[in-house]
Amino acid sequence: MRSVSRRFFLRVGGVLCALTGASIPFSLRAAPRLSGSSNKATPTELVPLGARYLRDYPDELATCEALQRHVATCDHRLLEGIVRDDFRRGDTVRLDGWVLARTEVRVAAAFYLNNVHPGGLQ
Amino acid sequence: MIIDATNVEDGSSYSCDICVIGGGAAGITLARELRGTSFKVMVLEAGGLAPSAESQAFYKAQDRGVMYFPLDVARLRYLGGTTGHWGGACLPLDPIDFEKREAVPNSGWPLTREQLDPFYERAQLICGVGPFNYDPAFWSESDNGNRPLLPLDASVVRSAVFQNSKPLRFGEFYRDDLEQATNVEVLINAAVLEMQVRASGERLDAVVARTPNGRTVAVRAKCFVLATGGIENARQLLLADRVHKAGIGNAHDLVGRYFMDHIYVPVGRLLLNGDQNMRLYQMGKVNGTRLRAGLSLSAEQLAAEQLLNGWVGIYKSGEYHSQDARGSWNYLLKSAKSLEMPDDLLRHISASVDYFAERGERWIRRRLGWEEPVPPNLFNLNAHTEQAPNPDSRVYLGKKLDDNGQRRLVMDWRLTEQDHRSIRRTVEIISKQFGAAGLGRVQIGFSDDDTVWLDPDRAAKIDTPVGSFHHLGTTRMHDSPRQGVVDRNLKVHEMSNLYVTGSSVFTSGGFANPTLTLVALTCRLADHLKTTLV
Repeated sequence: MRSVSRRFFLRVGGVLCALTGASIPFSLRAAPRLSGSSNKATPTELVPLGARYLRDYPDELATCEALQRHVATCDHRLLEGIVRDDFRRGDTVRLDGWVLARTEVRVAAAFYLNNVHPGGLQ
Repeated sequence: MIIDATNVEDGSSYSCDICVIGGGAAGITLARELRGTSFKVMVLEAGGLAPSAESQAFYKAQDRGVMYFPLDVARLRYLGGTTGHWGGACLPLDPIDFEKREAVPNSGWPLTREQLDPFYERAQLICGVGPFNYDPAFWSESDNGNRPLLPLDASVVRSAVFQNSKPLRFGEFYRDDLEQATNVEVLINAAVLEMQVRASGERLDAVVARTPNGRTVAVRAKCFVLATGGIENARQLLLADRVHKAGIGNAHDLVGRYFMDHIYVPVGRLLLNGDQNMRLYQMGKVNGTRLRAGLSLSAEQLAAEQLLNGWVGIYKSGEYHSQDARGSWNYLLKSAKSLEMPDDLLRHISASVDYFAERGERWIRRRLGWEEPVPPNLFNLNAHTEQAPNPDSRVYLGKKLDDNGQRRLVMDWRLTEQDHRSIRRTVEIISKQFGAAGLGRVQIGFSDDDTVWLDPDRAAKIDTPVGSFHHLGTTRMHDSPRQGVVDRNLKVHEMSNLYVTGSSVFTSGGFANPTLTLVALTCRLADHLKTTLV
């Protein structure tokens, strides 16, 4: 079945592309940008991740709201240490298959909240 | 000397000291190890000097249970045997694999890794790989720091190195040795039809073989060694039911049971933080030895989590292709070079098209901008894991007959919750270690194919075989005849002069490819025969 669809793709894929100009989003765009490296995320890039986290874990809303005011000014090194500790303790979350530290997704959620409610919810 | 049995007179009879049934990795190793001794050795190989559709047809079997590869594809019936499929990967089993592990029912070899080490050292040479050193730090340091180890917490995750031979096809590579050995005769095209057990039941007197042109040849010997492969060894014992009604060595209904393979599945992908040097974890050559490392859990972690052993390979995107597709392309190339018409041409062409279509699809998608180029810090993760020894996972004789009138096998491969959980937990633990070390993040099951193996409900309904052509355990080794078919010296418990060698004697399978271990076990058997048959 797999090989048939692949051959089908080869035959008609180019034609379809030319006709529609369609593009297929690659899931890598959803990959988390990581702290402390060349992959370091910008707050804007963290927003979808944070939204996803709050959608999957609505009970976390209050915790993430509390973080809202601090995320812009938090010490990056300190944050990275906490994230690593999360992984060591096994305090992780699975989002779209990505195994992420609890703290990093909470921070992402705080950025999301700042984005949609810049002054906080209250 | 190599003799084609189709040319010998019908009804010919030979006698020798040691008759080796099977000319694959184990049979050829045993014959070579016995060269230059005072023993007269005969090797009976069912196939010829090259694979053929006619010979392969004898390996056809029915499939039940979890979908498995067709057995006439997953094994090769010719001189050299399934080394014709071998990818060349070599790694000894871990010490923990030999131990009786509380969390792994039916584990525990009657041998230790330490006892097998001297034979592993010999097996390294035979398999055509480098020095008997699998310490990842050794290989890392051997390349002037160009292949650093990943700085992961060693108490949880360790690196494990495979060495890779060319790979070496035993039938071709060692043919001259067999031709020139003065005390060794290899009869090709001689498929064992009958094992003649003495009426008292404890001794094998002779075997009768049949050629493709219908001639029979009898071989009498002081000692017989069955070396026909991880599945066929069981079949031969089960077929010999004239004196032992359940088959030789099967008084306790063990022959054919405990069938295991290594589960080889994509499990996710790794996004590294940046420019971490991953050369040790990609196939490369260090001081002439081809090798690659992957990640395994420490023995302590396996025990604490009650997991089976496993290895996670880190592959550049697009590096992994199905064995079948890649193997078909290589087979077609080889046939073209030798100007021979390939068997089963259409199937191999179809698989090769699949192979190139996969690569082409990716190339076209990138050219059209449909797909972002895969960043150099993104890798695919494939797990290669141990399967729990399970008596319900088995091969047994079916009702269908082959062209020699012998019953074909039924493959009933079964997997357990522990098999699935071990894959899942191993990847989860490794994922967390990457995060803890600040190296990167892992996405578990990024594609639909991956998640099948991470979800026990879906795994029970898979429709794609995911083994490794590693057939293990069907004549397992144990000191007790109630728990094993052969003893620690590979002698069938209830027989005085019949031995079995090959991957079928593995009590448990670890994650290491079995060729190196089966060759080491066969070297050990050769030494045993040299001292006991005088």
